[in-house]
Amino acid sequence: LPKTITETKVVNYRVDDVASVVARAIIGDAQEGAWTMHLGSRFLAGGTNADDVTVGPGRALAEGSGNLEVSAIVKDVRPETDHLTLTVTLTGGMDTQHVQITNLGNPGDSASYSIFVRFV
Amino acid sequence: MKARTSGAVLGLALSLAGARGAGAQETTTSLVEKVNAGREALAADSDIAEQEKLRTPNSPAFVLLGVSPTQIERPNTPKAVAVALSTFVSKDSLTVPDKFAVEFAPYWIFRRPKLQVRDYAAGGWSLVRDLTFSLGTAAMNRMQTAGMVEPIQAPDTDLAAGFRTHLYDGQSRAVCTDKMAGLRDGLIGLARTTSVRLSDAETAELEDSLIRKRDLDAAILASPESALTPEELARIEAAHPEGAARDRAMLEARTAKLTPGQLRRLKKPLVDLDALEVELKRRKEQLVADARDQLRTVETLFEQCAEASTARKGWLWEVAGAAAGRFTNARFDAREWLAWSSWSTLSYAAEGETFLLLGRYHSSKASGSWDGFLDAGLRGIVARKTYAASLEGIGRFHVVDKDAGEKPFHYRLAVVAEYMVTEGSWVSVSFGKDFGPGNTGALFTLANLNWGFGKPRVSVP
Repeated sequence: LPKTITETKVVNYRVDDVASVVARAIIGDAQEGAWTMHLGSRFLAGGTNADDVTVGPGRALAEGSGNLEVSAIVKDVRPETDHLTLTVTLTGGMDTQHVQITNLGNPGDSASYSIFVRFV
Repeated sequence: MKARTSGAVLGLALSLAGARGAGAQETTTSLVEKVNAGREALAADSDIAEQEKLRTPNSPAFVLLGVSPTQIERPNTPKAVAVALSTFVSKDSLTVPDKFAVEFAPYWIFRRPKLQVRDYAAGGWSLVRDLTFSLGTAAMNRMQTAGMVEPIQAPDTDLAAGFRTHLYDGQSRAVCTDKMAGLRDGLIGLARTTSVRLSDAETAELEDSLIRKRDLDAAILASPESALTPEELARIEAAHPEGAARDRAMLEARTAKLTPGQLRRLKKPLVDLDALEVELKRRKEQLVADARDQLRTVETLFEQCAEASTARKGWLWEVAGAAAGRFTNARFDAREWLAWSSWSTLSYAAEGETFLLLGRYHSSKASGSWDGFLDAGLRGIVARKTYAASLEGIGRFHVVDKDAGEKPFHYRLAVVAEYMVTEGSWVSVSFGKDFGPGNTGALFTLANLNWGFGKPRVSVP
């Protein structure tokens, strides 16, 4: 029976005080799914294609309590692979950072991921 | 795609000309067996030998070996491929295992985190992405007599390796989130529902509970933003001459100099991330468990999409190749080549019509000499809701090691027409000519009634 893999990851991202942080979520391995981004409890954006989302100015993010939460539902629809991967790319800080959650499921499985980005 | 007939089958096989080709064997058969035998003669979607089918095989190695493994190992990680291939190593030497069947796609054994479904679905030139390798073995026992008083059984193993790929795949695949109404919004809704979405206050409370106080105190005391002026310092020292009370007053004074934002910024790196992750995962797992009805709805939409997305349209150019050898006593150093084949098909699928052009070369070694056949085939299918028709022809040229006086050209021709009598019940009529010596190969005719649960045998792949 298809199962749902649940996984979370927490990372710190070093901001640049005078630049805006941009996040991009990609559901890879040609699997289907959708992602959403929340800053704290505030909904920022959601979609199925990779898209750049401006999260906010670096200083405000670092001094605020809210974390960026990128969540995704990934469905194993490919007969060629059972990898279920979410990658979040962060830019606008001190460095570009790629954060990834990946699992090897079984045909038909789903994954529910959340990546929490703390701005420091 | 192969359309299987299910349900009650009432068939009438009329062998008008019988099996007149060389090598034909007379057998006593039941009506059902005759029906099945007639089907085997059909070119369209029938159970004829894989090697004879007018298509590029999915697993060329197994076709060349003439085996249909019941279980094919399909490793999907580099480690799993290595484990599968490790069966070729025995006690530090190479050996050939029997009953081995593995198939893998090199491109897909590695993760492709940047490959999005729309880029994949768009198709195009896909030589590497669609490349698959198949590797199989079959044990062959033969009686060895040379130099022996009594013949003994020699365990030989045949091994074949093959590849298959799409040089060009213009048949775009369905993206379910585009195709199924409500699926995209359902997935986004599910991602939102299963987000932890802590408010700023909840985050602050949770993270503050995961900071060690002495670390925070040290960070505040080291912060340049909290630095005290000489006057403020003197005032504290005057009010608290003792060490512990003075330190506490100093910390309070320095903390008070920080804005809430500066204090938050000092706290953030001190949070125990592992403990935070454990707590957030616990909350997320609860949200996922609570969202099972939403998950089920999404699963149902994906299932409906899969059922509706089998037909693809556009150009497809496939190529495949395989080679086989025989290994005496399963030893790598005692080998001889047996056969090799190559296939290339170019097809175009439209709404209800498919046309396919095939080129195939097969060479095999028998009694020490190589034989070679070149096939060229053409197939057209028209399928509608209530009727379907298929026409297929293959020309075969015996190009290498032809017998003296043998005609170099043979052909197979098959026509199948079907009509749906009632929902699920199909009448089909087939006739044609199978391969045979010269132009007098076996003629066949077959009438079938697939009653009740039948599906059309002629369907657009």
